[in-house]
Amino acid sequence: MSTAKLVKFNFHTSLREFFNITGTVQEAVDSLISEKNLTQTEVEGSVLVFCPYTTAAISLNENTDPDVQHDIFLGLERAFPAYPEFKHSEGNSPAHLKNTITGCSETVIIHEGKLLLGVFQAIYLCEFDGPRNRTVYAQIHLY
Amino acid sequence: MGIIIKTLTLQTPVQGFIGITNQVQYFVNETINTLNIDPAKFEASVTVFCPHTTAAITVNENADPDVQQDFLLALDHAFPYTGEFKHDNSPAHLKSSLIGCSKTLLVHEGQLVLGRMQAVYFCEFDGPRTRTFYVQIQY
Repeated sequence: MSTAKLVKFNFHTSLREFFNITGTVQEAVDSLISEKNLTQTEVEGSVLVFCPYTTAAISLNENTDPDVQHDIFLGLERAFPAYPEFKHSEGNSPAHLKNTITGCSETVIIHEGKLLLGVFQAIYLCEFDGPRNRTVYAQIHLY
Repeated sequence: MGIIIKTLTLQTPVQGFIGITNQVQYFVNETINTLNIDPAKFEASVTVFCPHTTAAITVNENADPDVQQDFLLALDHAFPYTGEFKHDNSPAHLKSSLIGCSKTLLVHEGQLVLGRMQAVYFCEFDGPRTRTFYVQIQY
């Protein structure tokens, strides 16, 4: 038996932030397991988390020390500053660039009904051009 | 449940982002027709994979082509050719590694799930060349 379901989440982000969505994704997996009347410990699968924007991204990174997030933003600012030669009229080319570098999706393994993440890992919606209302999709595959 | 793959080719410029969204959606449509499935019931994921080391796959802004020019400029600034490099096209390899060789997309009710401003791009950093990319649909 296998099943795939697309779930949609809405978030409100601030100017720039890593918004932790791990709990929300796990809850969606839990509720699909209940809906299909499966035994959690017997469920294997994967979840594809996808962000449909060009100035926000999905990343897995450190969940313990929030300074890491600060440092990642700083590192990205230094690596991809706004150059006067940029042509894009909205003026947010650095946000588009950070988006492409970070990537619009991540696939996470589901093992025994739980997201298989390292102790220090969490799934983040990365906002590079907020504040905005953002939608994130998760396609859950259970086997 | 099943899996199907197609190899596609394209001709690239020296550097640039080539939109491939339509080709990916076309293969999804072909697959739906071949399988004789109701498109409204077709849920799948699609992996777009670039088998080259100086090119990449990304999803980004489809509206203003200036964004792509700004990307190339910023990547050149971030990863310039430096005298200590030992291999002649290392900046292109660096850009390829950073952006990544694949993207996995969602298909919901037979259509790629993309934001209004998103498109799928093949990124060329060391052209012009004849390039290949793979599209694998998992359904």
